[in-house]
Amino acid sequence: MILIYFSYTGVIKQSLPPEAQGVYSFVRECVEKEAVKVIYEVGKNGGYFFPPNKSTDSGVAIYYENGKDYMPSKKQIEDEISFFMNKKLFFCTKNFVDFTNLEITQGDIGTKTTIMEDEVILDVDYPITINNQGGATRINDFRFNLPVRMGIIHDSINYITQEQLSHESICASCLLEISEKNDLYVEIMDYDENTMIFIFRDENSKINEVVFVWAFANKYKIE
Amino acid sequence: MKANNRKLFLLILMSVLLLNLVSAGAAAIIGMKGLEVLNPGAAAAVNQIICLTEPLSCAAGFVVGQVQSEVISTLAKESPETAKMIIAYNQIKGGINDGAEILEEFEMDSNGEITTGKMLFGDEKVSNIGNLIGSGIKAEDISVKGVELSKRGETTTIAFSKEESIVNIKGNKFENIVSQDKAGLPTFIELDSNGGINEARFTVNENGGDYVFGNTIVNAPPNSKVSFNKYTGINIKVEDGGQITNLPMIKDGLQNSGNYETVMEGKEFTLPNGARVSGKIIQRGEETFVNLDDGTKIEEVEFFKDQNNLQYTGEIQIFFDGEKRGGNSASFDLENKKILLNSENGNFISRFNEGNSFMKVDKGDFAAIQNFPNSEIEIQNRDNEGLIPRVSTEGDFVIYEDGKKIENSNGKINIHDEGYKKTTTTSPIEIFVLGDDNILGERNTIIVDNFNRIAIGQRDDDEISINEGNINIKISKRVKYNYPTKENIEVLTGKEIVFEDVSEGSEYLALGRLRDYLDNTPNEIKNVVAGIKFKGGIGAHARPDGNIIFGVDKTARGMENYDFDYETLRHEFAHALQLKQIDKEKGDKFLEYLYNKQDGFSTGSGLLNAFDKINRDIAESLAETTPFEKEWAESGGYNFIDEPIPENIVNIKTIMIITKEYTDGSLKNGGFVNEYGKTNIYEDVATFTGKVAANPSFFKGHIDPKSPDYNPIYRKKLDLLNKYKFISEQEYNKVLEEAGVK
Repeated sequence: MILIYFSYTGVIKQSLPPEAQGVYSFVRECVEKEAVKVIYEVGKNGGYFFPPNKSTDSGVAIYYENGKDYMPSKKQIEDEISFFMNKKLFFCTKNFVDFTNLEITQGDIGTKTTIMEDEVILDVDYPITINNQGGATRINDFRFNLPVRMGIIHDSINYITQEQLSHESICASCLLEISEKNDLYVEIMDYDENTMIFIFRDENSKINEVVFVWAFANKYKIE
Repeated sequence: MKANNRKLFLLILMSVLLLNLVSAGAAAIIGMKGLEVLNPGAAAAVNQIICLTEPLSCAAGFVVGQVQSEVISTLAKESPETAKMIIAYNQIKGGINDGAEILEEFEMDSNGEITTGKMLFGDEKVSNIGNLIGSGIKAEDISVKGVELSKRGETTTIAFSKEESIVNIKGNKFENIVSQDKAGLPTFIELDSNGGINEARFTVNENGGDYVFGNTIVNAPPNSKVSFNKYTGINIKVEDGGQITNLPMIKDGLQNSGNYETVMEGKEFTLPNGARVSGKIIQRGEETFVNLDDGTKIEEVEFFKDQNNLQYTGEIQIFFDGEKRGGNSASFDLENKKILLNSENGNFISRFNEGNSFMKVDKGDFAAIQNFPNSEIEIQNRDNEGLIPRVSTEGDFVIYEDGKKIENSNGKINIHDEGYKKTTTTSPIEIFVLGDDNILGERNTIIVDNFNRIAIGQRDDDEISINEGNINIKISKRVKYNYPTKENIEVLTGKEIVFEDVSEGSEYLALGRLRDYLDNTPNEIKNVVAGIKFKGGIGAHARPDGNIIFGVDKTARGMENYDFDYETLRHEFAHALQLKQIDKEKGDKFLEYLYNKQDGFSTGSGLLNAFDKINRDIAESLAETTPFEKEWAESGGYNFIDEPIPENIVNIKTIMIITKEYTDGSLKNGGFVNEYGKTNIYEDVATFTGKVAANPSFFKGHIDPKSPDYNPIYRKKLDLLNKYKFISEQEYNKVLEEAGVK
């Protein structure tokens, strides 16, 4: 079950005109759809929409190598989500070509992402003006709260990554401790001779029955 | 005197002087002629008392007959030393009368003690010789039969020269010993002048035997080799398959002196309790040890030291009662298949080999447990409960599972990757971490299964059930290592994995195999594949869009035996690489014509007759020959390259391949891997690729010019596979190495 909250300005606290309601619903669906896609993609790629330079051939971001921490900060991830939300949303609305009977103008999309412990909040500023014979309706704010515990997951992985800096092995008891504490599941896979892929699964973060996962890789020196 | 005569005179004079010098210390000599008394005083006593009393005993300056005891008593009053000479002579004479032979004359000193000499005793009668060994020994204390006695000062060596040789030292019999000649090895007992054994070496015959050294009784199984040295102890080398019926024991429990350490060694032997041993077992009194330098295996558990951490390099004590023990020890409970490993200050490693009773170890796997100081580890086989072995630990440890190490130290449990994989299998165990400082918590365990997977989580939670082999445990997989799921494999490979109409069991097996196979596949080849689909049915198929479809039979057995193995995977990857150059839409249609497959997959009888079904016009327009394919056809000697293309053949992609060599039989096997490879160029390339990856030695005879199966086409095709990256450089080199043509 997704809890989504939208707000809009322009015709504040009043019902939207029917033609604007259609546009509003259309944009809202795009925000919802693209947000889920972006958030899940960012999780799968370890905090990036596209795999970063430092990643495995299969595209998993590397967080640890040679005693150094390459994990992206929450701020970096928020910016990544915001950036790709803006891009994806623009392509999703397709310049409102489907609304042939309305004159719609749109401004620059600006998304502010906030990673909370148990949710991700997207404040999408998408200024849209719908003109019709009766006047103009302006919609601009789309607030979307995704029930994905990205903050908890990020903190958990950060704990593991910081612990990792002191040795070249996997601290299984640390993984158990943090996963039990935060009700997460951790899966580790051999990728190649010295690379392990870590997948954090959160059964508490499900959208449309799809479990949210966060993947990253660590490269170890062979003993 | 001529010069030559003068030299001869001097030589004789020197020889006489030397002879006198040699005999200078000897007061008497016993030879086959009799006793010759050289000491003037003793000689006078002999002449006056013996020769006068028993004239027949004397002849030409020798005592030749046995002297009566009354005469000896009389002699002893006048000259006790001379009397001892006569007693010794009497005994030797008695031996001679019983068939003995003097091999080297016995010399006696002025005290009547024998100093040197050698004698061969017959194997008919037993001779008492105690007093020949030393003056303090009664003749009957040591008896022999069929031995060669050699005396040098205070040392007497008794060699076992006959098959029935016996030496009896104060009731301790040395018999069932192979003669020296037959053994081809020194076979003797060396005694001191008190009758104590200095050294012994012998081979026991097929009857085996118990032998006493000092205060220690040992059992030597048939055909074993026994050696003893009073400074280093007893060593028994047991022949393969030998069984020791009794462990070394103290003969007189009250005595500590004369207790020797016994080493029992062999490639494979059993102890009295049935424990199988390979290596060396050390017995000290009633305590059993193994030395960590020896690599000894007991019940296929091998003990050795950690070469990287030589804190402790000594021994560990072995028990067979399965009781909790202190020190550095291993306590076996063979009946209940349990072993307890305890470390006080050691860091020894216990390796569990294939065939051990405690945990399942496949051939080639490396499964071992290392105790750190102050640790205790119990391994309990639970086959009879349908469970994998339980490993209970207290204190720090390392568990080695092939290329992985699970280490409990410094308050953390770490998994180390050694960076290599010997095999894809591991030894299933469930690890319980016990003690006050248990980092896992009471409910959690670590499970290692048979397929290189590790899971950490709570027991008795039914989230996951592992049912493979004898594993039947349910755990909550809070932390899992190498458990393949569709999502994991997708993340791992970056490729979409689809299952369609496939049972859960088959899906699980397919994912495990896929993980392992992809691990072995070079990256540049993997990258060609966009996605992998497993679909109920039979067969496998690659599509031009880079997707590969594997048929999965409804039963796991079907999949295992037919559709999805490494050779098949690489076969299909080769198709994907070759098809990559074809336009997707055209390629799909082309394949449909070629194989009569819908949706890229055949659920029916497989390949149809390409000649009958193909629409030549369409196929010709769909598939252009690539540079690789042209080179391949030329290298392979395809028939149409330099001869007219048969009427019913469209192009090289669609024909049933007929090479010149195949037609006229001029070259071996036509340069194909198998019959299916002759289907068309795709299958020719794919069968080659699959075989290179999965069985590089296949080409051994085909590419070695010296082999009767040599056919140059094979090497040309291999070169092309390498050139066009169907196989990696490493795989190519492996084929050449296997054939010895690199």
